[in-house]
Amino acid sequence: VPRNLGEFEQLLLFAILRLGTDAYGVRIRQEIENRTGRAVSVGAVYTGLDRLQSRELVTSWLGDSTPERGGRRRKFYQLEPEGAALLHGSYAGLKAMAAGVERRLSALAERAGTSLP
Amino acid sequence: VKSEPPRFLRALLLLLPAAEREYVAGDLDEEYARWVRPRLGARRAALWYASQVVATVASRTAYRLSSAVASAGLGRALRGLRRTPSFTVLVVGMLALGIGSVTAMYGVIDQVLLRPLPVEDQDRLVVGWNYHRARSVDHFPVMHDAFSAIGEGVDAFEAVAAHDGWAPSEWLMTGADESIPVRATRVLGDFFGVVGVEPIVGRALVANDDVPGADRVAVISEGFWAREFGRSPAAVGAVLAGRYAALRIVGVMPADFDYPRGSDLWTPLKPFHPEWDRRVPLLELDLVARLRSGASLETAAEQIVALYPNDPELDRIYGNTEPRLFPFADVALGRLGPTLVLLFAGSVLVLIVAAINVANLVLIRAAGRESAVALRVALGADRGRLLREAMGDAGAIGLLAAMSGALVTFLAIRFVLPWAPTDVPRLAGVAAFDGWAFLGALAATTALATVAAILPVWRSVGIDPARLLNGAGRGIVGRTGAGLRSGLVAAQIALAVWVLTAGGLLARTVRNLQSLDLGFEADALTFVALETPPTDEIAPGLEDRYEQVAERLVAQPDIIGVTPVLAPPLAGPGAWQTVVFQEGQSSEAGIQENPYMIIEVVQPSYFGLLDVPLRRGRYLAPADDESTGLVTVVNQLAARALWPDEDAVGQRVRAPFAEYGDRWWTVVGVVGDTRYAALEEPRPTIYFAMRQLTSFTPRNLLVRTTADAGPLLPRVGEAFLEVDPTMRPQSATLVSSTLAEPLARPLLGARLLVLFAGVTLLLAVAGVYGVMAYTVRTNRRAIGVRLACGATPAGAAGAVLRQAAGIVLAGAAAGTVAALASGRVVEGLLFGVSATDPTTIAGAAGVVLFGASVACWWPARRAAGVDAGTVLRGE
Repeated sequence: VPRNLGEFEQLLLFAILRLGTDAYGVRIRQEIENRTGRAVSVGAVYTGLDRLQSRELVTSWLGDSTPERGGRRRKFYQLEPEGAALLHGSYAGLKAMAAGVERRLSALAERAGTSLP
Repeated sequence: VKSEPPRFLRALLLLLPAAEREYVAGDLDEEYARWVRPRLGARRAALWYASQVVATVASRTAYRLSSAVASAGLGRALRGLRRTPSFTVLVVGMLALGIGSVTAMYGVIDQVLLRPLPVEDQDRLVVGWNYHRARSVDHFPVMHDAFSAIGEGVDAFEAVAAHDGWAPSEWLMTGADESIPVRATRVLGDFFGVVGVEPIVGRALVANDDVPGADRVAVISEGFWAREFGRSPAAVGAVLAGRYAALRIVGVMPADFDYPRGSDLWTPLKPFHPEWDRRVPLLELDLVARLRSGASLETAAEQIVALYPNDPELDRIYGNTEPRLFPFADVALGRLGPTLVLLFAGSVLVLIVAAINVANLVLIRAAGRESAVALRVALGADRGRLLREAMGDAGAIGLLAAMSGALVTFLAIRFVLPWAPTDVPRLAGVAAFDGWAFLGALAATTALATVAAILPVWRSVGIDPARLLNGAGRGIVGRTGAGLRSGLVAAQIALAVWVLTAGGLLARTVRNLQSLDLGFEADALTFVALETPPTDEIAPGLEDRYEQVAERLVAQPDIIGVTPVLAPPLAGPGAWQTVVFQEGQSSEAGIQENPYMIIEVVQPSYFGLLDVPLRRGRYLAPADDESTGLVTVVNQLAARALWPDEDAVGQRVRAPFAEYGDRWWTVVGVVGDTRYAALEEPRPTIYFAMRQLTSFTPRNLLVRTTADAGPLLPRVGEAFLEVDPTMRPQSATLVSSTLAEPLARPLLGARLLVLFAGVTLLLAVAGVYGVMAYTVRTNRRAIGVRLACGATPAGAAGAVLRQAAGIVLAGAAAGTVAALASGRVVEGLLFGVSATDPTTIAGAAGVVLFGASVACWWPARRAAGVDAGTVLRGE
């Protein structure tokens, strides 16, 4: 079992953290799409979540339903302490690496015609 | 507002497991109803939904497949396949053959044909020369005057350059220490600018290099760089010294750049002619031009033709010609396109036939499973689960086929490719296999296997469990796709006939070319090119010196004879040619009416050494010299063309050679036609004695040796050192190997296509066997009943054969029709055999029918051997 997190896995874990008790498929997908501007399919979200769950970084349960869903239940996710620790560690590493060079990075990125969202 | 997403799209979600389907479909529906539909409107919302469904199903399936590979899912499928090893080996082996041949062939096509040449915008690059109508000379070069006119007057060309016609030519040059043969091309104008090729080291030649009196420079090919300089950067700046010039190397061309084919070195032409500005020499050139964007070859050709009438001098020379312009790639790659496309088609057919077999086998297996599937459905099994299992089977087959297909590709490239003639450009670069072609072939076959695998699940939809459980289900077994299977087998037979016909036609082409009567003896004959001073610096008496060289060489036990010769073998239109005039015929009439004849200037030993038969009169003799009357010998074609109704011997002709213009040559003999100048057809030829005609200087020798003779070059070199040190041999080539070169293309085609045809035939026969054997097995009961009712075993076998004959004959008939109809495709690749040659087509059909009957024999025997009692008791 890998001891690190992929970029998309980090996004998923952050989304779960942000959404709290509202963390289910639709909202997780929208959270990532709205914040990063990256198009994501439901399938990709669940595939990522399956992997995280198999590593016991998140847990899930089937919850309530609404008429729009045709009576089908939602699958909710929650961050486990191990997941939180791993996310915290990889984010801290990223932050440490970025410290002091963020301005230079955005200046360089602008030259390539891209800008941060 | 209707807020339900399109139903047919949601149906796709059935591919997901039921448990997962609940929350995934719920999510998609919720998001659709609450956010997407109100915001985007019906059309775009439906699009959004479709893309989400497709992406989700694809990513979930891919995920599931990959976890299945890792864990038990695929293990189950693989275990299933292990339980039926013969099925697995057959299916996987056939798919591997198909995938391997397509991938390997695509690799070849991509490497040789599709990969762009290292030139700029190759579609606009044109190579050209002239076709001479009156003399039907295919490759009539452009002289400098026309080159200048075309450069200035043809608007369709953006830029024009040229190189020596018939380039490259072989020079002997001295590098750091030793003499090396160099195949050199002289280029005129901004050749590399027009072509647009970037050097890999140093610089290319530029227009400024091509002026009289400029520094003598050259660029070399990557191959020459590797061979002679070990790819050292120090090559740039090195000097190659030849008899006429010392050339300083300024750059190296990329490995892919091989134009004109075989060039080691390119050097500007004008510095060879210091007096260029005052007197432009008579040069034979091939054009290289860049079309203006939007202009076509046809426009350019029209504009060239329109130039000539404006200039009487041009009109005189070129009035009877038409330009031949070709896309650069066609000339640079030796026009291999049609052969390779045909071969690729052959490999695709192998894949198709293999895929048909696999589909048939999977269908047969599926038919056997159908009642099991129906039973499980009846007992409440989730159809989605069965579907996933079926797809797991297909995935496992695909996985095994992928691995073995990759192996076949590797083996094909490793062992079959070296079997191809060496003359195919860029072939050496075919590396491992082409990933995309491999994936394409794999996807196609796996898709097919998947369809065949899910068919029984699909068909189980309409099955009534009650009927099935009452035993009526047995009737379903074997019915699935019986017509489909027969149709597929017939298609295989048709394809086999077609491929076998094409392979047979190419094989006959090769045999026709190989068994051509050359008209002379080419075995153990070596062509030695000499490096000589310019004609006016050669001391008189060259004939005697050649004879002395011959005497010295023949004294050695393994050398049988030596004779000088004007043209190298297969020089084709590059050989010296002339028109002669008959008695009572004006020069103008002669030019219009008489054939263009190849000139050969020889010593009397020539005819004996080459074993050219005498048909009439006598050969040239040692006594025919400057002191006697001028005599000549012609071949039968020339004799027939000039004197169709008379005896050629005793006739007199004039020839338009300087100093000989008004003298008469008497024909003293007629000799057999030879294919020394062109393999496809003998050309009219006229022979002169070297002692009588001094306008041409033979600069080559033909040496006949024993079969096991040692190296010739050093010995010829020693002989010249003793007799005439101003001359030395520069290269020695077996005439038989030169004659084999035109065989390269048909040989490549024939070998590979015959291989494909063999594989196709085997697969088709296997297909027939599989279906017939299966039919017999599933009909054992019916056969048993008939036997019990008094039918004879022979009758039972006959029934099987009759059924097979219907399928096979229909297929063979379709294949024959297809072969007849598609003759045009292969026509251009054939020699001496028609594309619709009835013998070849009938032979191909015959071979396929024979194979098919062998395949049917065993199942028929088994039908005859059915024991009615056993079968009926078993029920």
